[in-house]
Amino acid sequence: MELLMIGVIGVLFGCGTYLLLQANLLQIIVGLALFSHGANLALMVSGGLKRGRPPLLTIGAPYADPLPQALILTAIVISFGVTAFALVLAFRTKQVCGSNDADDLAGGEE
Amino acid sequence: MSTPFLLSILTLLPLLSAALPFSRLPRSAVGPLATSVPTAQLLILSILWPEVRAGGQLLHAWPWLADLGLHLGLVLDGLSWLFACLIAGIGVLVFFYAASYLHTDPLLPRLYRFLLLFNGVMMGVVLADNLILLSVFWELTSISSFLLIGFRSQRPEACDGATKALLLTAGGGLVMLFAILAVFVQHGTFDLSTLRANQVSLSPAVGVCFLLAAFSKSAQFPFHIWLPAAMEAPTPVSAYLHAATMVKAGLYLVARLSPLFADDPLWSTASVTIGGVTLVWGGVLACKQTDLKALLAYSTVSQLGLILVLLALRTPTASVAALLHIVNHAAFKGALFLTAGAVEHATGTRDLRQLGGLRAAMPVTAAAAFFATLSMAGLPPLGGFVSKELFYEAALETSPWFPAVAVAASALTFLYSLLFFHGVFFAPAHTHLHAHDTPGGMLIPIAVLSGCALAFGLAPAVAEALIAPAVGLLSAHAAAPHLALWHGLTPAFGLSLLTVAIGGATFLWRDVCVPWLRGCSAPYSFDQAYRDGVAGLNTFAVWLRTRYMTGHLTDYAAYLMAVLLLAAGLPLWWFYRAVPFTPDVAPVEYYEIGLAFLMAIGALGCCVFRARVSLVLSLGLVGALVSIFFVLFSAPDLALTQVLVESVGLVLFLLAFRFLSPIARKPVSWGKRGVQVALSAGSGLAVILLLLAANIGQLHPSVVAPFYLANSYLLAGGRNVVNVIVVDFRGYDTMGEITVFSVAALAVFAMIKLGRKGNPAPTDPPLPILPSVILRAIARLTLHLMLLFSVYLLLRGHNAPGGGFIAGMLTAVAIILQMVAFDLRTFLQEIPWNPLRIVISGLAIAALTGLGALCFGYPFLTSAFGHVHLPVIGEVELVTAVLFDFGVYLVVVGTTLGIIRTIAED
Repeated sequence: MELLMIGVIGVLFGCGTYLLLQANLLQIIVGLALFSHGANLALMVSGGLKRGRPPLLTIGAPYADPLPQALILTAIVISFGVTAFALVLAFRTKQVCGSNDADDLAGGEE
Repeated sequence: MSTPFLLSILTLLPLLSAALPFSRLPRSAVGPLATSVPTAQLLILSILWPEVRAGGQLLHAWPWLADLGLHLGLVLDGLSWLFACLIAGIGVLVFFYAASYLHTDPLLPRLYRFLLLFNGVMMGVVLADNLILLSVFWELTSISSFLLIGFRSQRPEACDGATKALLLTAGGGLVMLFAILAVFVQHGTFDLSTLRANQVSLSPAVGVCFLLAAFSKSAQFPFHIWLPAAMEAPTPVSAYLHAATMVKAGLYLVARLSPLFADDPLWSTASVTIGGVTLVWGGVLACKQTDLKALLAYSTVSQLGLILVLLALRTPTASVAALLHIVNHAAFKGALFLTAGAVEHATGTRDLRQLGGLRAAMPVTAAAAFFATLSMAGLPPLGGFVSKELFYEAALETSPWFPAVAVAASALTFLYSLLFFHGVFFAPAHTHLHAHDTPGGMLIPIAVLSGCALAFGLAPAVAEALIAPAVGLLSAHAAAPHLALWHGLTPAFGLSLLTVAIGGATFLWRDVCVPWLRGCSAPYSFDQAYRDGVAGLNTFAVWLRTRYMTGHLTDYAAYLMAVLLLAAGLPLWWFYRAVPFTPDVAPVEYYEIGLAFLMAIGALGCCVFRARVSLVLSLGLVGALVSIFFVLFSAPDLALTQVLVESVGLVLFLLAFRFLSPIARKPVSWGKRGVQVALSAGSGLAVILLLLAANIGQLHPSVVAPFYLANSYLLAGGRNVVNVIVVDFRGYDTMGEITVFSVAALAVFAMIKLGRKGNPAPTDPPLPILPSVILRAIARLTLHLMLLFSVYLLLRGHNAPGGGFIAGMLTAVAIILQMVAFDLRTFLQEIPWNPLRIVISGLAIAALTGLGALCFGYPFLTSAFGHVHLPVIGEVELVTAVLFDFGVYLVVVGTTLGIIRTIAED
C-alpha cells in the first residue's frame, strides 16, 4: 500500500506543480492545496500505514504511529488558513489590478 | 611581548586603525596618527630581526575552522621579513608624503583609511602561512587597490582604471583559489609550512594556476595593461602600491612557492619567458610615453619582468640579484614616483612635452631625483648598478643569447631613465611653468629613498643585511651573498659598458629615435582586446537577459521550479541509486486501489478542467478521498478534521470565485506546455524518489512514538494520543500554530476592510439568497444539535477522537450553514459577535493556561490533571490541557468565521 500511495503522492505533487506553473491565480491556489494534501499523505505514509489501529489507548496495542497524525492535524488547519489567505490575496489582486492572470501582472519596462 | 602577539599586531594594527574616525580628527593630526602605524610596524620588525637573521621561522597558528584544517597561521621568516620591511618602510615615507601632497584635499582622511587597509592586508599576504588566508588577503589587496585607483571617483578614467585592475588581479586571485583547493585535495593541508616541511612537489597544472595569479598581480605580459591605467591613483598610492609593494606580491608568491616546484621545468620556463618578454616590452613602451607616471608605470612593468626572470632562473647569483633588485627598485622607483608627484604638485602637469628646465626652480628635488635616476639606469655608485651587475653575471651563467636580451633591456632602461630626468629638469621648457620647490613634507621622503638608493651602492652591506635571511629560502645552494660595488674587470662589467654605450648613443639620437618610437602603433593592442572583451561580455549579458526575462511570471515560476528540481532532485537521484527498494509493509486491498486511482483522477482533473466550479469540485474530490484514507488507516482525528475543513473550504472557494476572473483559454505554445509538463512530471518523480528514500527509515521503528504511547496517560492523563501530543507534549507548537492561524484571519480582515477604505462599498447583494425552505428548516434544526455535538467533541477530545480543532471547525460549519441558509443581514442580527474578539480571547485563554503553569513553578504549558465522572459524557479529566484546547477551539471558530464573514460581507 505504501508503494501505491507514494505513486499517488507523486501524482498529487506533479499536478500541483503543473497548476503552480499556470497563469490564473485560482489554479495556483488549487495547486498549493494539492501540495498540502500531498505533504500530509507523505507524512502519513512515512509513519507506516496500519489498518484499524488508531492511537487511542482504550483499544490496546499495537497502535498506528501518533506523531505524524499530530503533525498532520495542525498542518490541515494551517493549510486551510493559507488557502483562505491566498484566495483573499487573489481577490484583492483582481480588485486592484483588474486581473487574476499572473502574466498580466508582470511589471517592468514594457 | 610574545612573538605571536607581535605577529598578529603587524597586520591587525593597521586594520584596526583604518576604522578610526579620521574625519572627526583635526586635519593636522590625521597624517601623524596614520604614519605612526607603519612606524610601529618597523619597530616590531626590528625587534624580531635577531631571530629572523639567525634563520628562525616564527610561526604561530590560531585555530579557526579546525575541522576543515583551517588555522589562522602567520609566519615570519627571511622572505616575509624582507617584504614586511618594504611595506612598513615605504609605508612610513608615503604616509608622511601624503599629508603634504593632499594637504588641502577634503578626502585626505579617506585616503589614509584606504592606505591603512592596504597596509594591513598586504602585511597579511606576506605573513600568511595558511593558503586560504593568503588568498583572502590577496583579494583584499586587489580590493584596496581598486578603492585607491578609483579614489578620484568623479573621473571616468579613474573608474575604468580601477575596474580594469580589479578584474585582472582579482580574476588571477580566483584562479589561485582553484590552485589552493587543488593543493588541499592532493596534499590535505592548507599550510605552506607543512608543505615545505614535507618537501612536496606540486603538479604543473597547479603551478600554472599560481603563475597566472602571480603574473596578473605583478602586471606581467599580457596582463601589464592594468598598471598604466592604475596611474589614475594619487601619486603616493602609485609609489606605494603600484611600484614598491602590491605589484611585488606576485613576485613574493613566485619566490615563496618556487621550492614546491623544484622539479617542474614548466614553472621556470614559463616564468623566464613571460618575464623576459615583459622586461623588453615594458622597456620599449616606457620610452614611448609622454606622461611621467605612465613612463614610470611601464618602467615598473619592465623591472618586475626582470625580477621574475631572476627568480625563475633559480641559480644562487640570480636569487641574490632578484632580492637585491626588489629592494633597489622599491627605493629608486618610490623616489621617482614621489618626484613625479612633486613635479605635478609644483607645475600642475606631468606631460614631458610641456615640462623642462625645472632644475633651477626645484634644485633640491632635482638633486634627490638624480641619484634615484642613476640607480634606475644602473650606474655606479648606486644600488641599481650592483644588482644589474649581478643580473649580467646570472645571464652569462645561463645561455649565450640571454646576455643579448639583458643588454638590450638594460639599454632601454638607461634610455628612459635619462629621458625622464632630462625631460623634467634639463630640457628646454616648452611652456612657461610657474614652479616652486617641493615643500619639506614631500621632499624628505624623496631624499630618504634616494639616500637609500645611494647607500645600497656605496655600502652594499646594508642591502646584504636586508636580503641575507631570505636568500637561503630561495635556493638551497646559495651561500651567504657578498655584495660589492666593484667586482673588477669582469665580463659583466664589460656588458655594463656596452649598455651605457648603446643607451647613451640612443639618448644622443633621441630627437630621431623617440618620435619614431612614438609614431609606431600596433594595429591591435592588448588594451583594445580587454576593452573588446568587456564590451562583448556586456553585449552577451544583455542578449541573454532579453532571452530569458520574458516578462511572463509563469516563465519565472518555471525557472524556479527547474532550479529546484536540479538542486534537490539530482542529488536524490544519486542517493536513490545507492539504496535498495523498501518492502511494501501494508498489503493492498482492492477498494484501496480504487481510492488511490480516484485520488489521482481528481488531481489530474484539477489540471484539465477550465471551468472554475469543476476545478474546485475536483479539489474537493481529492480532499474527500484523503479523509477516507485517514479513516482507513487509523487516523480518526485527521478524518474528522479533513472533512470539516473540506466543507468550510468549499464554501470559501464558492464565495471567493464570484470575484475571480475565469480561467482564460489562452493559446500556449506547445514548447511551453511541454516544459510545464516535463517539470511537473519531474517534480512528481522527485517526490516519489524522496519518499522511497525516506521510507527506508521504516526498517528502523520510530523511537518517539513508543514514548508518546507509553506516557500519554501517565504524564498527561489522556488516552487520545494524537490530541495529547497536540495540546500537551507539543503544546508550544500548537500555541505558535493557532497564533499563525489567527494572523491569517487578521490579514484577511485587514486586506478586505482596509482595502475598501475610500472605495465605494460594493452594491451587489452580499450573498445570493437561497430560496430553499428545506435548507432553512434543516439549518434551524441542526444548529443546536451541531453546537451540542461540538461541545461533546471538545470535552472528550483528550480520550477519544475530537478536540479543539475538530470542535471548532464543527461549530464554524454549523454557523456557516446558517449564513448560507438565511440571508446575511438576518444572520448578523442574530449573531452580532465580532469574530476577531473570539480569536483574541481564545489566544488569551491558551496563553494564560500555559502561563498558569509558571505560577506553580512548572515550565510554560505544563499541564495538570484530575479525573471526574459526569453523567452521559462519561469520564472527564479536569485537565488544564482541556482549557488550553478550549482556547484552540475559540481561535479556530473565530478565525474560520472571521474569514468567511469578511469575504461574504464584501
